[in-house]
Amino acid sequence: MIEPLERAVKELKRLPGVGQKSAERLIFHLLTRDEEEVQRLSEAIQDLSTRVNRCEVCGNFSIGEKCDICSDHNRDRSKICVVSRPWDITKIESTQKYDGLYHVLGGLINPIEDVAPEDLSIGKLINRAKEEEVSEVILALEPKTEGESTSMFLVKKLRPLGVEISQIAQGIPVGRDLEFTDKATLGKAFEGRRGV
Amino acid sequence: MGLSREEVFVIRRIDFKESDQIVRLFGRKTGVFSGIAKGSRKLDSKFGSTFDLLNRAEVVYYHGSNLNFLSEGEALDNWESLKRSGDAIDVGLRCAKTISVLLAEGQTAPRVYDLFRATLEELDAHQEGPYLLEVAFYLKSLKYIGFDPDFDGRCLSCGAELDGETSLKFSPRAGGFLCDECKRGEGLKLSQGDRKNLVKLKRTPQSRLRRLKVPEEKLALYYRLLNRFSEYHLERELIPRSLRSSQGRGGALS
Ligand SMILES: [Zn+2]
Ligand SMILES: [Zn+2]
Repeated sequence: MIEPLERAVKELKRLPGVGQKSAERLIFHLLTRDEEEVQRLSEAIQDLSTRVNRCEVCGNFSIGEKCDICSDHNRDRSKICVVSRPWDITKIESTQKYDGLYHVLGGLINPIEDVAPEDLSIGKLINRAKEEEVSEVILALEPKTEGESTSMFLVKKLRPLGVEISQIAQGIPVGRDLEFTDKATLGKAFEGRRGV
Repeated sequence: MGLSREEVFVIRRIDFKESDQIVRLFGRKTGVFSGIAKGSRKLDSKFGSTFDLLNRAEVVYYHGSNLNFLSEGEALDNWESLKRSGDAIDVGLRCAKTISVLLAEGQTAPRVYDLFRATLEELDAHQEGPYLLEVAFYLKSLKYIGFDPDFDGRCLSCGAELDGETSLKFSPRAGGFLCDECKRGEGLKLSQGDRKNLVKLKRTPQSRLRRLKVPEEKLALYYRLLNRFSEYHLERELIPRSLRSSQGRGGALS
């Protein structure tokens, strides 16, 4: 394979779920498209690293320092929904059942993967929960072993602050990712959240 | 296509591709092995929540060219009570991590398997004070894989009785106690009471450990001792330094 092809294949293979064969297929496909289309794709990818930041308040993806949700004054600022990853926000937003703010932890506590509480955005969450306007923290972490453990850890840290703490869980089968939960089930899980 | 059926523990899982997972399993017959569970992250997956961490499950799998493919899986124990306690989950996950650290893929260790099962059963039955179970798990699993620290009341080097000594020195290098004469360099200071505790922790079955009364700060000391021993003899720590905070839950092993 000539050098530019080999390089492109090598880079694509770093992506999750892309092996040698699918990388080659994508490259050969791109080579048959016109230059303008390939340029647009290349710019879109470039933008990911140059234009997309993490919101300094909640950790969501954003263009500026604050994400669209944190800067939206119509959102209910008394509620913070805690998720493990930014794409869970997209999923919850699609249910249209929640109008509060979010907080992205950046993962779940898991000794098996060497993830300790200090590796996650927990201190920041505690500080946000101390703010006067916040009255409820909703835990929307995956109902699997690591998610449960992280939720329990957060409850221990949040309890002394006097905020109401609730957890979505009902309806979401144990061991699943929010990503794979359908809108209706997730929406119901939000409405039926229970205090912990 | 050879199908294998086996009883396993789920000790690690990694998301793979769109909706698959690669799971690391610990089987009583086969030891540690990995397999791919296709579609297992989907809502309607036939695997249900079989591959939730720590679950004991029965799986059927076949060997692909360089990967095992899981074709069936059913949870036998999902430890519902254990999973309602953060401390118990931590201990369970740290023990699972230790299995990955201590055993190579394919190395069979049925006694470690039974020990892990007994540990999870105890954690599921009683969630308080899980650190006794954890330290005993480390002590016993080291023993079962052939690295057995010696807590006899004799100097490992010259054989001198140490019964009269109030303060003992444990040498991670020697894997046991040394008398004042034989001791070179640093050792961990222990009391006769510590020595007896360690002997008891190693000998007492997990199901009867709760009767032993060992203060948490003592458990932290024994944990350090085992880590030093493991560093010396296995060239790795039982648990990485960053995770010893016991998740800030005020646990013993900080
Ligand atoms: Zn934000
Ligand atoms: Zn001696």
